[in-house]
Amino acid sequence: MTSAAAVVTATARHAWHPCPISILSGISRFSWRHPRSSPASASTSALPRPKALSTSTTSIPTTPLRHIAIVGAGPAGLYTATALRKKLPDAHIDLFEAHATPYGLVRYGVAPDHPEVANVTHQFDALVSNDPHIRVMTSCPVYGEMPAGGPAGRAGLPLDRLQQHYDATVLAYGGAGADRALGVPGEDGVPSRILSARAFVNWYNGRPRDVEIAPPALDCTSVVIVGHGNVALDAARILLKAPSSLAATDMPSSRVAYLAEHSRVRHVHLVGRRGPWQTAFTTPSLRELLTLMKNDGIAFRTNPERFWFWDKARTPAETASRANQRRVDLLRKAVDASVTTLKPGCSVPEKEPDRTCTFHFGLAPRAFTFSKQADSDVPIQAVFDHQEPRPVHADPSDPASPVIRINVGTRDVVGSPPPSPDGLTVGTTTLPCGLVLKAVGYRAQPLPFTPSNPTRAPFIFDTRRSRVPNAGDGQVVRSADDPTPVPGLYVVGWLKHGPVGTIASTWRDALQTASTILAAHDPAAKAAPSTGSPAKGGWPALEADVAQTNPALHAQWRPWTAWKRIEAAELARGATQQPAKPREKLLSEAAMHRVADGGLPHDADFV
Amino acid sequence: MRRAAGAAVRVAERRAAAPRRTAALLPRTGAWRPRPAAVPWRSFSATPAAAHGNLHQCKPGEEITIHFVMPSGETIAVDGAPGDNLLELAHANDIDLEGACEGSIACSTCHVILEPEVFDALEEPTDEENDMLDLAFGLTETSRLGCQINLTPDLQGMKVRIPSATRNVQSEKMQNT
Ligand SMILES: Cc1cc2nc3c(=O)[nH]c(=O)nc-3n(C[C@H](O)[C@H](O)[C@H](O)COP(=O)(O)OP(=O)(O)OC[C@H]3O[C@@H](n4cnc5c(N)ncnc54)[C@H](O)[C@@H]3O)c2cc1C
Ligand SMILES: NC(=O)c1ccc[n+]([C@@H]2O[C@H](COP(=O)([O-])OP(=O)(O)OC[C@H]3O[C@@H](n4cnc5c(N)ncnc54)[C@H](OP(=O)(O)O)[C@@H]3O)[C@@H](O)[C@H]2O)c1
Ligand code: FES
Repeated sequence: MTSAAAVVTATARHAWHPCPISILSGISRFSWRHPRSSPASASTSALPRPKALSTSTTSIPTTPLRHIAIVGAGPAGLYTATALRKKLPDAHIDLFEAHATPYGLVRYGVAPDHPEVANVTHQFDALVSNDPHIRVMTSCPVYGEMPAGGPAGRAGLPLDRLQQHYDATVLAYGGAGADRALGVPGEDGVPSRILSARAFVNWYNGRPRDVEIAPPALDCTSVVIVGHGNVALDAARILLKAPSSLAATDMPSSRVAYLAEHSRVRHVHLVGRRGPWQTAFTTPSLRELLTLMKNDGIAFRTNPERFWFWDKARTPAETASRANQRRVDLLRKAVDASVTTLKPGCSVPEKEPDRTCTFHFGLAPRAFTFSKQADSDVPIQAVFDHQEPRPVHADPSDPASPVIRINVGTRDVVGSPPPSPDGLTVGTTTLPCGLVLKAVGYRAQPLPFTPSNPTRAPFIFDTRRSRVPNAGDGQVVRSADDPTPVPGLYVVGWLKHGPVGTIASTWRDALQTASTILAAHDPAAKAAPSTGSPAKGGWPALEADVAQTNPALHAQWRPWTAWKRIEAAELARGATQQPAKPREKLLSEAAMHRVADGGLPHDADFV
Repeated sequence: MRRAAGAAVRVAERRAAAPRRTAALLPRTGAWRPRPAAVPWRSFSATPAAAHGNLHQCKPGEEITIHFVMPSGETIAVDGAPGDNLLELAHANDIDLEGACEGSIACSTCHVILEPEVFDALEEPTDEENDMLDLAFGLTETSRLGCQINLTPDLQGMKVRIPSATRNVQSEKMQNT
């Protein structure tokens, strides 16, 4: 077999990006090891260890693992359930999902023209539908604590109820709750014209309207998308595709119709603040967009000087990565091809192509201004600063140490060294447009109604890194600064490592968290004699508790069969469409609840 | 007799004349392959017909034996027919090879590692497969997507290593238990 030397770094970008791969392959911030997990711990126990950790190692071994609660039924939660179920034939695994529908971002994130990605739901379906030991309760948001004065609006399940009734609780509620902000003037000025890509994605994927947003303003020819990630490319594709090609997907018919009737978009600008080597999108997404452009006659545009300038800015690790090489090569080919079609000095003026997609590099957002001229096609001026690549060295004081990251900075026009004559690293570029989509990343949030007093919460959410603080292996710890494990509490998926990664990386991450859980508990134990606490009651105890203390939630939550009724209505409606759709999504939670309870869907529920 | 490099070798003896096992139709418990009693087998990826309902028929004597080397080091030999792909073959035989997108080159979870000679003898992967391989964890120079390798008689006896999905020590442990 192949030697270890043949292993190619998956993507060097992970060296600094909070990505699951680096976490999986790396070493956790502290090495806490349960005594039962390895004979090696006998020798390591001689080493000085943080006090809190040694305490936990004495209490955890006999903790049973018969009842497991998972918060969130997205890929991370469902893959964790799959992995645990395989090892624990007798355990009961209960998932609690805020929405009326499971699958998380597979339903409300993954683009409608990527139906293959949604195939993963088949195995989740088979897992839950065929196994009486696995329960999914939908319409059951988990809260940090019971809101003071009782829940106004939706009822929720306080986290401590789960911790009380389950041997292990796994936080898998994802990182799709909010967006990263740019922090530049004007970004919140015109909500219909400067919005997050997340809002646009939610709109085109038919996230229930009682939760989200109005249609974006597509009455303009030019759109600026900020960010060079996969979400940016998804948004560009949806804007540039012929709406008719989306008709047979699970994009709601009303959204397809809206695009067909209202979208005048012909020019998309994809603006990244760094260079081709630092792009966050993946090669499959890039190739898909370039292929669409080729087939549909959409011209590729870029400023070639700026592209080649930034092409030179890269770290050795970036260059060594096969994935980076292939992605940059694909971009280079596109740039080369676009340059040769420009025909400088040609006497016949070249006809400006009808539709374009422009890749901009080294431009960081500075400000957005809005002009109120009603008839203007380009009411927004998106202003970007030209960036200068700034190598960050492993040892900042030693310029000879390896470059670990290319950062960006803006060079003072007045200062030294002198600005480049071509203006590549000084000055600004203004892109007039009618819509700005900020595709600069999602952001995880604490559970709703998390106690503001940190002593009442089991852990302190890491707001800076947008995740639940954990030891790198899924064991929740007290805070980003305090590595004391919180017994019985685990985290997985986007919530564990920040809002990056694909289905594949989420799957691996779930295996890791599942193994951490298995190593910390004893599936054969009936109760935890060392703590003297009685055996946990799991679902029967939780249900009795909720029936008594939280009747609103008891009336609100629904079993898996409710989702299956929603799905049946969606599949049936999809089959009657012209052309047939894989499903026609119900677009309001109220309609979902009605259908879940055996009611009929109305035409208006799909609009 | 068939031999394989790993510790335990379990060989699937299958009557080739009988219809190929169609996982979507047959109960997936009580599989022909013995499993440790402590771990009753449940389908890990119970992907219906789409992923592995279309295994091919073949005449007696034309079976192609494939040796799956599991992350634990254990080797499992199974028989397939020309035209089967490695993902379908693995699933039909309850071998733990993930296939999230069911063979549509959209996930990279079916990543397998081949022997260099086998890798070289196969047709080059398409650009799309290479793009997706770039996202595979622990990529090697002889990595392929299992869902894209179709069995041919030349592949008789080949070894297919299923890499560990994580390099985490405890995960390894979990997979080994
Ligand atoms: C726009 C977009 C497109 C993508 N496209 C692809 C793609 O094509 N291919 C690919 O491989 N990956 C894609 N991804 C990545 C993939 O979707 C994620 O890796 C994966 O969904 C992360 O899984 P998760 O379970 O951690 O989070 P999520 O999918 O967000 O699941 C979290 C679940 O928890 C629920 N929840 C939230 N709050 C609560 C609460 N308080 N109580 C109970 N439940 C709660 C949510 O409703 C949700 O169901 C895409 C991501 C985005 C954003
Ligand atoms: N088809 C698919 O497989 C698919 C589809 C969609 C999403 N996903 C996955 O979902 C995850 C989330 O995707 P994403 O696109 O939201 O996030 P992402 O991959 O983190 O990309 C965010 C982009 O925004 C840029 N950015 C961040 N802050 C910025 C700022 N202040 N100013 C300018 N630019 C800024 C980043 O540039 P810097 O690097 O310079 O910070 C980066 O280019 C990713 O892991 C992605 O792979 C996958
Ligand atoms: S199963 Fe998804 S790429 Fe092979």
